[in-house]
Amino acid sequence: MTHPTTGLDDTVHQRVRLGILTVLAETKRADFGYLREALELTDGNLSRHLQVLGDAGYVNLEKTIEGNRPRTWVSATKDGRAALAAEIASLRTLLDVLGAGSR
Amino acid sequence: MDVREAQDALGYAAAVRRRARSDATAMWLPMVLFGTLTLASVVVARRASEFQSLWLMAGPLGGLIIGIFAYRRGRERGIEGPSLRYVVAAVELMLLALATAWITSALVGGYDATWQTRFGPAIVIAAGYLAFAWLERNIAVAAVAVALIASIIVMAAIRPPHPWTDAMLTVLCGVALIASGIGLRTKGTRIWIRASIER
Repeated sequence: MTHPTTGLDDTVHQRVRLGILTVLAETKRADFGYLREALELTDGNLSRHLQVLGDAGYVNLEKTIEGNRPRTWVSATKDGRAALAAEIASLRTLLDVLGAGSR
Repeated sequence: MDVREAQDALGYAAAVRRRARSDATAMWLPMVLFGTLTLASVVVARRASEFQSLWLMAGPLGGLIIGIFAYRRGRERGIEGPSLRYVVAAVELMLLALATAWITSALVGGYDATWQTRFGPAIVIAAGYLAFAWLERNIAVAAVAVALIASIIVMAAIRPPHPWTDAMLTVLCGVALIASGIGLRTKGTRIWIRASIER
């Protein structure tokens, strides 16, 4: 969903989801534990945000078993990377416009 | 949304990006490994052809070692970086070095043509710096590459008469690589220690 006044994508704009997509855009994939620690989240909170991003088609979740231990790998889709790039561009544009207006 | 909110969101994204980039990559290893190989090449290779043979073997092998290290480290930390890119970059660099040597020898005749013999190694090293700067999106490393290329151009223009000057340039490159690698390793450790304390 796009914000009516700023053109920002609400799915990506939310702080935690912005963080998740930023991490994933820098890597091939990251596991659930890494995202939880790096973004200082709880399991439930991270799961909820991953679900929102997954429903929007911005991330892929891959569940594996490594050494008898389940592991969830998360990667950004092409749409997810594009949405993040658009969000960052919109924020910069907004900053330019607002910054120019406040001068 | 106001200016402060937009700045805050961009600042947060930048901080998260820095952390992820630092965790996903292990830049110190390529620098220390290729720095050591650079120093070794001064001792082992006496002629440009020997230098090229050495790097044609050591380059892809070094890239492979770095790729495997990056892959294992990524899986251990839970964040996988561009491990395959290191191997591809090393192979591409070797092909570039080989093509440069072939073109130069075709143009001026023989592998030991003066310009290539004296400045070829430094050019290959500078190209390596540029490749890693691109892989890591690191402006500091790109600055080192540009400084190195500038020094090669200056050396080529001045043409110092003593043959030791060329070896000195290669040694300087090797030492700079190792020092940068150790510096990055230490910085990375400090970041991890600080993060653990803050937690």
